[in-house]
Amino acid sequence: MPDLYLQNCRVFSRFTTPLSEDDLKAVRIACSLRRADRFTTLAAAAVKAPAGQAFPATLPPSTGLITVSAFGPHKTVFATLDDILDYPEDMILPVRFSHSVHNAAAAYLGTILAITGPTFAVTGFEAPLFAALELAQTLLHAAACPLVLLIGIEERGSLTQAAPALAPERFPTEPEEIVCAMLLSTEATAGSRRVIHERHPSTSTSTGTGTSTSQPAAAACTLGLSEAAIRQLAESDNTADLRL
Amino acid sequence: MMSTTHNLAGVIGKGMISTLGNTVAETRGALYQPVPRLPELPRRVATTLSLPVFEVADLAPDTGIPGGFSLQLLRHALREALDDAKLAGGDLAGKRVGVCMGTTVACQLNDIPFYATLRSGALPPARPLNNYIAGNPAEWIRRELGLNGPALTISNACSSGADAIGIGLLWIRQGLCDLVIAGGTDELNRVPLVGFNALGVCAPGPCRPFDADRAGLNLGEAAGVVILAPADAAAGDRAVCAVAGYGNSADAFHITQPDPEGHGLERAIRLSLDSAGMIQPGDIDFINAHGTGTPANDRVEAIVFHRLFGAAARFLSTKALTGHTLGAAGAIECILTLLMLEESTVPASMRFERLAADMPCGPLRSPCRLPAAQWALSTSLAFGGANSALVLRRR
Repeated sequence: MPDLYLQNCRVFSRFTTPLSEDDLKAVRIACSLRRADRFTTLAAAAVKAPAGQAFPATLPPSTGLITVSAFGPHKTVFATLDDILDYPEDMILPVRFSHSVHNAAAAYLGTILAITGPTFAVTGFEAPLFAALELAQTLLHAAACPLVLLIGIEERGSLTQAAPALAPERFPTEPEEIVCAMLLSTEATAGSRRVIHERHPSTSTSTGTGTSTSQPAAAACTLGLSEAAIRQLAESDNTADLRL
Repeated sequence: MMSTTHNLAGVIGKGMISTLGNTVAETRGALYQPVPRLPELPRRVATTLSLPVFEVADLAPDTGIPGGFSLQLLRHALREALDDAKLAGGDLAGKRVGVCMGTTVACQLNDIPFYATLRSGALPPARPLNNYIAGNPAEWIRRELGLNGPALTISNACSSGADAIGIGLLWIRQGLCDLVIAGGTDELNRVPLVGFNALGVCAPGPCRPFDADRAGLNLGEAAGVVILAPADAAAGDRAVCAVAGYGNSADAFHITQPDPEGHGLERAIRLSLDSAGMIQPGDIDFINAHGTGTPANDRVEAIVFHRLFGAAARFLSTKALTGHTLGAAGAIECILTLLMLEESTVPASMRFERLAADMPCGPLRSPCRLPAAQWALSTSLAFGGANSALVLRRR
């Protein structure tokens, strides 16, 4: 596989540049996100928030687009469940339901950025960002697109807040809210960083297809990123290899 | 275009469960039955809605597996696909095996009692959360089989299953994997059922894809799994059929409505034809359309098929047989298309009777024998304007 290079990157998190609700409001207005939920707004903020490092204002229409999240738009999923719990089944709001799917954010981003290239919503708990990076490499290697815009989103909500109490071995702390935008290619350019990502091996030795309920091996932090990795990702003036 | 573009991924194993049957063999028989099974009111899913659905009845729910019924369906199809490929667990040791799966339901924590407790301020039981996490389809298969290759779960709504198989093709072509387990799974679930009803796209009776009187879709549930191997390797070389091309393109138009002119779908189809070795639209013998039975989807597909393949385009929808199985749809429709290629016969597009005034062409009214059929196309469209196309080839 060809090497993967990070052309531009923006990371919004508690450890780097935080995003305020005012920032998100500005993004909603700028991107005409009248109906979009907060998850989608976070995704749009990755490239459109006024704060943070510079990011290309336009991208080639054939750019590939990948969103990745472990919990996805779980607040909107729960809002749909609120409707089901509180109202007759034929009175739930269609807008909430349509925004509760994982790829709603990718759909909005494609429209905002006028991107019509290959588009994917990726989800997982073991190492979702690594899986998404592997997908980006696959698309670029296949010449399916000249660039891939990878957006990682994890949104705080009642589920992430409850996670440490419900599954403390897996979630010693609450998964952090994070948004990152990574513009990737297989060509090194001035200022780009080579991305070195290693797949997390499965620790299971099962060889059958039984009824295992074994838990995933890797700790599901925020997109599978440690705090150190998040900080490293945000180092815009660093051109050393990025090891994730 | 890369030199590896034209390489095929031989389909060395298939597994499928839907209302057409619990196995590929049962499915093959049911596919050509002149009178299809009718959708019925949900039995396993508790709902007040009177919406006909295609529910798998012959698989008792197993609470011992994470991920709910979606994963149970997937396990069923996975076992059949591995058996069909003559792969025991030990046969995978030392091989680079990738897993790429599509789903919508399995990647959402839709457990209503869990959420009701959580929102009340109490701490709910941990099991639904743990099952949800452990039930990520691709990660579950990787752990279950002890694999170390890539594991990717795609949630591109209704095109997820097709995209998973398309990415599997790319992994094989790029030499990333010796084998790929690809497909999709989705159970019938109360949340999408009421959600699709809220969107106003559910038919009150059996769906009628492409018909002038079509009134929406019937939801269904299914899982489909294919085992892919390089066609230039021994196992892949023996495969009767192969995945030959894949294209994916976004509409960038609307969150739920397809681009009415179908430009994204056309791009996806053209990309899939190029990916299959620069074949031309005229090379395609038939198309298994997404064909949900909704006015917007079917109209767009008919327009694009007419534009690309001409008035004589041979196409059908199988959703009158299976319902719309969401994240599984692209995967099971890939398998159904492979069966059609193997049988050299395309069934009629069930419940199509009359062409609508706004449709330039309609699907097959009767079964079509195609002894020389070599190339087929399977299309998938999804929420968010996602479009995917798979080119399948009989060798």
